[in-house]
Amino acid sequence: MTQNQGGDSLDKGAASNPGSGNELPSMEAVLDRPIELTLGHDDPGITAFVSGDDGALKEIYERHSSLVFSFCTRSLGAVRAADATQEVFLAAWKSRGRYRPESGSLPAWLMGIARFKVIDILRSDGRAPISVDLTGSGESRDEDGRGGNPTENAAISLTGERMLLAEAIKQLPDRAQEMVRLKFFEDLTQAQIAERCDLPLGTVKSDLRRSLVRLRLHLEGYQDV
Amino acid sequence: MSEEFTDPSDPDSDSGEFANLVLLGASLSESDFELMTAPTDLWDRIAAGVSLAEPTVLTQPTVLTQPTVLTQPTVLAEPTVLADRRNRGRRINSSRRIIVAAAAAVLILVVGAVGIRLVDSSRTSTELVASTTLDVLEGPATAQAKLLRSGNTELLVVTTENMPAAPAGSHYELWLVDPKVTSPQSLGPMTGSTEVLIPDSIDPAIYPVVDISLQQNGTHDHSGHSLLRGTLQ
Repeated sequence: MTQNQGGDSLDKGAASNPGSGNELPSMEAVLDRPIELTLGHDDPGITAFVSGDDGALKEIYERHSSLVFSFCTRSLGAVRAADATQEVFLAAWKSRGRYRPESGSLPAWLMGIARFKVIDILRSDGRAPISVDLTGSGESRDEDGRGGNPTENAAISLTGERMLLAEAIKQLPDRAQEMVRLKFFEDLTQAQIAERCDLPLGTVKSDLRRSLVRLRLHLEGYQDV
Repeated sequence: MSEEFTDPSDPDSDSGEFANLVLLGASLSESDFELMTAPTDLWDRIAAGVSLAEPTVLTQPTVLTQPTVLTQPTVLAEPTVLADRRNRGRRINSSRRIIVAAAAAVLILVVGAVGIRLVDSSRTSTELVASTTLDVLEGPATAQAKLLRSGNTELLVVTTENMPAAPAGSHYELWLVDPKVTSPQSLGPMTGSTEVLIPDSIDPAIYPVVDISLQQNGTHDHSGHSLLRGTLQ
């Protein structure tokens, strides 16, 4: 996993950052702790969820149902999104013992489950019909002989990952959000971001790096479900 | 991609460490940031499903089997009182017995009907819809399956015996299959006895065959290597 590497990089970045010691506020204190919270190490709600507290399930639902439901709606349509979302949270509850906070964020894990649910539903709808021999001959193949519809599955997976990233960006502090948006959407260099935000280059470098590390941690686990 | 993420001459360069993340970020659209609120009743449905999935609920007696209503002694005890008054005349006694018995019967029916309605409205009753003992196609394991229903939610309870650990790199998977065996529906991996909520998208009437297969890890389609199979009846 990369969160440990990211954590090391975070410390190194802070130590080597020439701009981190100036009078401008650093986001170090803000960003360091949320990384752990995102991964659930110290989050009592996630700990309670994993240990089987059904009250914690409701808390998890209230935190992440909009993300899961929106992804299901975009992938399946409004009519089937509610059923799919229900299946996702029930599957998560049933599989809660397999969730490892150190291996990825909870929303990434939930969205990973949602991705498979969506693909399964589309497959059962016949959008990627399969023909399986259960007579014991060992043959199993999709209609096209390639194991489903890889293109559609990849598109669904990418949609989920984009929505997961967008949600993580919204959770960043305002200044970090602005830097990340300038980087992502306007493809500005760090120097240009520093000029646009009227901040020292060193501050932009360290803060932007922390933000990217945090975003990457938020996505971890999505592809592993 | 921005040059400082790839420019090796920049000592502070991230050297492509975040290249994939930046590419993904650049592909974001405004719609990726827009979230919709789930329907207000969705949590209640999930909570009901969680309740059904808990074994403690499944072992609770249903309201219909509880004696508190149908065997309530307060009304049925009346004939005892009547028996003490036989000196008032057999015809009167008989008439009163008939009236009281009829009243008791009506009361029982009414209370019983209310009880049943309460059971329906609370959706706490669990009924056995169908079951099967799976045929052994291969291996030492045996299995039985029961399809339970509570309200609109259905649960498949599979009890296995002598199921060995799956070989390295593989796992067991539970399926519901249609009789023509054209479209197996996965209910997920399993290691032994398990309880699985059946998604609304799968109708056991259409997919009545319970199948346990041996799957290579990482595969999502049925392997064709079935170990146990039986039809819910």
